[in-house]
Amino acid sequence: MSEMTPEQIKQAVDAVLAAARLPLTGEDYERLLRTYTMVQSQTAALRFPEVRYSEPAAIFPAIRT
Amino acid sequence: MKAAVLAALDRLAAVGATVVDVELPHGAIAQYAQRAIMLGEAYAYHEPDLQTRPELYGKYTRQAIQQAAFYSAADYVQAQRVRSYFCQEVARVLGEVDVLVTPTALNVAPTFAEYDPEVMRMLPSFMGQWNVTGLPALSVGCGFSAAGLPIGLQIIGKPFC
Repeated sequence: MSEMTPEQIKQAVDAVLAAARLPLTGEDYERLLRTYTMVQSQTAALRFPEVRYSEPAAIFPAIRT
Repeated sequence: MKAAVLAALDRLAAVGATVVDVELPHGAIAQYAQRAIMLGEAYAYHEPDLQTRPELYGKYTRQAIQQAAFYSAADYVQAQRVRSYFCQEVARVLGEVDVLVTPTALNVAPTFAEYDPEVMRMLPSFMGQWNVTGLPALSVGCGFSAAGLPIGLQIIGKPFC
């Protein structure tokens, strides 16, 4: 993942928040700006090859009647 | 801090435990999965209140759950896949040993004055991993830092049934 500029981070965060319709304090907003890239790096780390076919995403048990 | 944890392991060995090293290569990533699952599920529950009356939440709780807006549905599914994979990894290791022992965290407990949840959340820890496995885990004191703050040793057991 290439490093994001502060302006790119702000644009990404603003887009998420516009969709989420969360009212924020200034402090809330600043904190989200600070943590955005950390969350992105952590979610990127979740994607390693061995887990692509792991349960539960690929298996849907039938309902019991 | 490391010395206190290693001394505790020596003590366990002295009273009869066989201490061996094991590897859980995806332990750190399992912690990320735990955060994605926990925050995603909290956000799903609290979303209407965060949108309409956020002032009713404590600052730190509100800010932690707000962060879940950054996770996508695919992130949540991927976290569940990691959970499943990590559970298998842990099960293999627990087939060879009776319990796992780790430091509870990489730092000693902060003072109230120094406590900053944002900093705490960014530090590596050894706790969230066990939440995603559903295994019993217990933190016990194993010493004190030079400043007199407690150091935790964590013991993770097998399922009860």
